[in-house]
Amino acid sequence: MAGSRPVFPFDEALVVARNLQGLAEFASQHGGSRATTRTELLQSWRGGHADTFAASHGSPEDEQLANAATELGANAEEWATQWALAVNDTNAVTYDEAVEEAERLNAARQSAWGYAMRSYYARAAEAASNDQVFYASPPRRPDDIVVDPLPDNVTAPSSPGFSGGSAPFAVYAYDGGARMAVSTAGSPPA
Amino acid sequence: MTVESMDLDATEAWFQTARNIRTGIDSELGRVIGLETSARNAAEAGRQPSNSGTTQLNAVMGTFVATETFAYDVYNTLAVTDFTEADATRLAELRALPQHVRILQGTYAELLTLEMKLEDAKAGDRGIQPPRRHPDGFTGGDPEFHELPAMQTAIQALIDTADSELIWQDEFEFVAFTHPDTGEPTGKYMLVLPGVTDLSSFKDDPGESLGWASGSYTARDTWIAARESHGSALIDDNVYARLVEDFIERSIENGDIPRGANLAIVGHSYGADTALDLASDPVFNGELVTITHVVAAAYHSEPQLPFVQDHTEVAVIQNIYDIPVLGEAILAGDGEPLARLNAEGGERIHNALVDPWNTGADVVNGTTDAVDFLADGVDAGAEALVDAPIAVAEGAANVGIGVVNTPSNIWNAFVPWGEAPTVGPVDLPDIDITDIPSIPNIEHIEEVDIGKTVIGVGDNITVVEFEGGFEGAGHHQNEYLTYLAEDGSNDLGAFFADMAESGFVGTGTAVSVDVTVPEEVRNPATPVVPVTAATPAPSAFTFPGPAPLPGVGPIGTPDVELEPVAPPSIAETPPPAPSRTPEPITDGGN
Repeated sequence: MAGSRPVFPFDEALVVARNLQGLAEFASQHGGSRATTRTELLQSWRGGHADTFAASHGSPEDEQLANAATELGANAEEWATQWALAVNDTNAVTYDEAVEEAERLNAARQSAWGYAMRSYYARAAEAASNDQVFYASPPRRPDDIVVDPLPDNVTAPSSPGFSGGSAPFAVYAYDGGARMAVSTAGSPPA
Repeated sequence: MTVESMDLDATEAWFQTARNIRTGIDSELGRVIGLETSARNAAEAGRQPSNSGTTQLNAVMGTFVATETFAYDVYNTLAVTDFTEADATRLAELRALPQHVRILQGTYAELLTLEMKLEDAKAGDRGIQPPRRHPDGFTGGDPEFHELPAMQTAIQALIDTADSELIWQDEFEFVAFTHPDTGEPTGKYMLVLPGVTDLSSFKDDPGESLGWASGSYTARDTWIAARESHGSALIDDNVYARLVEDFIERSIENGDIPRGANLAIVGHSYGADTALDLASDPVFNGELVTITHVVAAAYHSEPQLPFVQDHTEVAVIQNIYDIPVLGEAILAGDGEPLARLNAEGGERIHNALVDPWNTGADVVNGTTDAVDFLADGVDAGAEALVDAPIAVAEGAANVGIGVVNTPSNIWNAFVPWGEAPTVGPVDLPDIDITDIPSIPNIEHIEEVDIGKTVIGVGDNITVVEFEGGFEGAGHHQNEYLTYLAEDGSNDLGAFFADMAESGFVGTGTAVSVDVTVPEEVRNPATPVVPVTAATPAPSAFTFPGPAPLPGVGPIGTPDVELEPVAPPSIAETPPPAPSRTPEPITDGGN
């Protein structure tokens, strides 16, 4: 039995990832400008306050900002990773659902074939009792529907674009033949 | 020295840049946090990435603000005080000024006088200065308009002791009376001796008050000079008196005043103590000058009176509610003033001080302690007085005043609310007794002729104790001025009539004379700097040499050519013969 599909904001997640990455770059860039102007400013300061300003405020500010930017980038990657995991988990559930559907169809087809066989032999017996020649062949046993395998696992989109591709999600469809065909779509199956 | 300075314009520009950057990042952060929160809310548990990045960046915004605040505080401090690097350099120069003052003093005394006056007119100058002439001179009583013109002279002198603009912290006043028509000296002179300058300075700076006042090194110092003089009628124990004596000696040497000239002295508080020390000295009051009259106000003078030279008339004036005087009496072991307060005086002091004069509970408590002590001292008799300083010191401790183990603790306890006599000149005609509720009934309660009834040293001494008010702990000149205006003619009519007859009336020239204590006196271990021709070392007694003393003698020479002289220091001054008597008072007497 197929599990439940992940609850995950696929579209929003990559937007967040991109914005986190963008924020990290924005903060680094402008924080750098701030540090540069501060350094220039301190050249006009003399005395203990200048030393305190540089040591107790300037350096910690720069260090904290760099750490925060790094963390923002890591958070962006984390969102991308979660997105990929959620997509693959969703596809896995979709595959399981397709397999279940194929099994249901196969059972129905076997049942129908059994009915046809019974009907065939009944007609053959009737013909023999009438000394008639029964030329018909028995119905062919239908093949089981084969479910196409899932496409390759989706990998986490990479920085800075965090593009998830146009159709990462697997979609299965049965066309009446012996194959449950897989295709991809931009959104998970309904 | 750390020099603090900044480019204020550059700092202001940086504030704008830094703030713009911070607000820009903060705005982006807010937007991303919104997206992130929405996404996290939409994701099931276990699929929610950490938000540590935005949390950290949010903390950085706080750091940014702290940085800007620090810079702004520094900017604000430096901008408000406008303390630029140039200012710091100027400060360093000013710190070197006292040294320059000492080196250049002999040559540029007049110039430095002006500069130092600009620096701090009230705080003294820390350096010896030539006498400062009072542009308006001195105006004493006019026989044509005053019934007792000499009393008016004394009143004006007391007013001058309260005028810290006229007489700086390290000065006294010297008056040369002149003929009204010709302006020539009459040969009558008067010393106007103000009291201590730091009676209440412990309130602001307890440590400062226990040493020489660093702002002036004035001889009118409570904790060292006045305390040292307390208990002695010798001028050798009184640096204030020694400096006055030195001035008189040099004025005689310079020909500014004749040897043996008649001299009156009006002293308030420590000035009264000094006046009687001078009047008791047979060399000063007999050989150098002849002190004919002394008005000694606001001091417990009784222990000194036996030693006053017989030819000197003395009027001692005491407000019975003058708490410093009461303290001096206690230190002298004299319970008589306390006895007068036993019935209702203590209660009156208590009520008057607690109610209209004090605002702080601590002061009230201290006052109560002092008043309680007064009552205890009276009740317990003379023996209790021995413990007076201790008991009062405990009272001082209760009001949170720094206590050291010296008798001067008594001042701390008695005058926590006290005012140094630094008020401006008093316009006597404006004094309306009815407007002073704390003096509802001025009453002359006692007049004692010490010579006849108490000490027996002659009939030249009159002690008047009056029931005055409580301004400045009852010590303020206004209390004494009020008394003189109201009852002086009754109680001291004979004294002032004699003083007027002696010529201490009318107008005169006046100078303020420096009594900054020389360093070699303050610190005897300090070697005297050799005098060189190029840089004449300042002397403690650098007065105008051959030139007439400004304001004394011939008038009209304001631009005196100053020629530094290097007379011996006090420590080097040989004691004049005959040896000074009397013996030191051993049972108190400040």
